[in-house]
This record gives sequence, structure tokens and C-alpha cells, in this order.
Amino acid sequence: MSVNWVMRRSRLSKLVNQPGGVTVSKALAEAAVQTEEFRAEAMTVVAAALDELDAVVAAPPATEDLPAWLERVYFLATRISDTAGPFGYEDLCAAAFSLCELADRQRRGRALDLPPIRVHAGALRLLLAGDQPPAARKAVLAGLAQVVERTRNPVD
Amino acid sequence: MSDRTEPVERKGAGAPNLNPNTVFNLSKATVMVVDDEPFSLRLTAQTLLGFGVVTRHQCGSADDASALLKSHPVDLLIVDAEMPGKDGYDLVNWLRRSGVDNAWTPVLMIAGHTPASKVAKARDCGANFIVARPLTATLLLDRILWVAKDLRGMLETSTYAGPDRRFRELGPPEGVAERRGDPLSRGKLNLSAEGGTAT
Repeated sequence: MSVNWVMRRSRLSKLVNQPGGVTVSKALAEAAVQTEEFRAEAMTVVAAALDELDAVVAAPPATEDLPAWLERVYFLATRISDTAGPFGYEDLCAAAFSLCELADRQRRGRALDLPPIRVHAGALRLLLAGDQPPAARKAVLAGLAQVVERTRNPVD
Repeated sequence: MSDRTEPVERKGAGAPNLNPNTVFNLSKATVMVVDDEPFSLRLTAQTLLGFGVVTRHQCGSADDASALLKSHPVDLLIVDAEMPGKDGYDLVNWLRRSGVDNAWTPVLMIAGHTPASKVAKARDCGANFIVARPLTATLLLDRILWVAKDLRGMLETSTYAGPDRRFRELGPPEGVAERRGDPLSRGKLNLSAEGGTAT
């Protein structure tokens, strides 16, 4: 097999060491200031995605619509995870990631198993409320992990 | 070559351990962010502003990005992996074989959940590093500074175009495991400053 090599230092590697610049601590502090105004909008996006997820889950699909339905569940779960993540909502992210995994498995298996999806939607709602003590939130995530494990396909 | 290091971090792995006193300068770097989700696109661009990046191209699709990459120099590409239609993996795969000036620009791929159907695509896309969401500012800066130090050679074969997937000198970011397969002997390579060929 022929392999062509390019041994070239990137421009980025040169620029990053130019005189001037900022310290890591100052850059992170400035990034926090710059993005703080997005926090409220992020939670609005998450709440809207969760509302839509509840509506989707409340209307299970006909067989022929299953792929598109699972695709929507997957998309909404990724939206929740991606939007909440940068603001430190780790529990919410973990639950949404778990739902991604579940929806992807069902998509591959081409079979709907609605109860575990409903459990995830309910857990996301609970975690978004944010009024549970840490131990309870941890227990919710542990429960979701068990649900996903129970639905594991033999091929996974 | 068979199984090589995959520049993919596992979710939750590789917690950044940045030195707060490290000084860097991104003020003259041009960074392109590609994300179909408008909120994430704006958020990432705003985070980069906090890091001192002045020139930031924001693209909502792979097609918009490829059009810009043909005509504008870009020093770092930050791409969302999952996008409808042409996704982030397709974009980077195209870029590496495009022949444009930006073909070997460092790429950070941002991935949330990777569907099983896309694992191979992610592995072979040619990104310098695949960063697992959730994407915090600390994680993003850590990976940017890591990729700025990434001096791995770029290689092009019939099946892959991108960075050498075995971490040689730098190693992956702290806490990110690497997986080694069959090391390719550097003694068999004919390397030059700008390129070379191995068979």
C-alpha cells in the first residue's frame, strides 16, 4: 500500500506561541463572562426539547413510522445533552446520553420498546426540575443505566 | 497497518488539567466553527471570543463550510459530528482529500453520542481529535492547546487521509487512553520537511 506523508507544522502551532496572549485562567474567566448570557437561553432550549419529547413519547408511532419517530427521539435527546452540557448540567446530560443510546439501539433493532423511553423522558423532567438531592439524582441515573442494560441487544 | 490509535476520547475521560498560568495567543488565529444547531454554533463562537480568537467563521452546514474552506485560510476547524445530510465526518473526509490550501488544517470534531452505524466513519474521518460532549470551555481550550502542539505527520492512503493515528511524541491529552496496534517503523519511511513517501 502506498502512503504519502506530509510533515508540516500547522500555522496554529506557530501562532499559539506568538508574543502577547493571555493566561489560561484569564481566558477561561473571560469565556465564562462571554457565555453566561447564554445560560437562560440554553435552559429554554432544553425545556422546549423536553416538552417536544413528552409530546412525541405520548404518541407512539405506527410500524411504518417507527424509524422517523426514533430518529426524532434521538435528535431531541442529543439537543438536550448538547445544550445543557456546557453549563454544567452533568446529570441531565448523562440521562439524555442514555436516551440516545437507547433510541439508537431500538433504531438498529427496528423494534419499539416504549416503557424504557418513557422512563427516560420522566427522568429528564425530574432532573431538569433540579430539586432533588444529589443522592436521589445519582439513584435516578443508576436506574436509567439498569434500564439500558436490560435492553441491550445480543449484538451490542 | 491495521488497528491504530483512535483519536477518540471516551465520554467523561480525560478531564482537563490545564495549568492556569500557561500563556497562549490565539488572537491571530482564524477559527471556523461548523454546527447545524444555531445555539451551539453561537455558544462555541462566543467561547472562542473569550479565548481571544478574533476571526471566527460560523457555518451552519458542511456545504457552507466547504465553500468557505476553498477560498479562506483557516487555522483551526471545529466541527459538530452529527449534522443532517452531509455530516462533520463527511466534511473532514472531503477536506483531507480536497487539495485545497486548508486540506491539512487541524480539526477538532465535537461528538455527542456516536451511533453504532458511524463508529467506523468517526475513526476514519481524518480529524486530529474527536472531543466528547459535553463541551465545556475548559475542555475546549484544553483540546485546542493540545491540537496546537500536535506535530504528527499527515498521511494519505487509499483508505485514510489525516493525522498519523499513532500518537508518537506528544501522546493523547492527559487521561485519554491510546490504543496501539502494529507500530509502523519510522526506519522504513523516507521523510522530508514537506512530505515523503512510504510503501
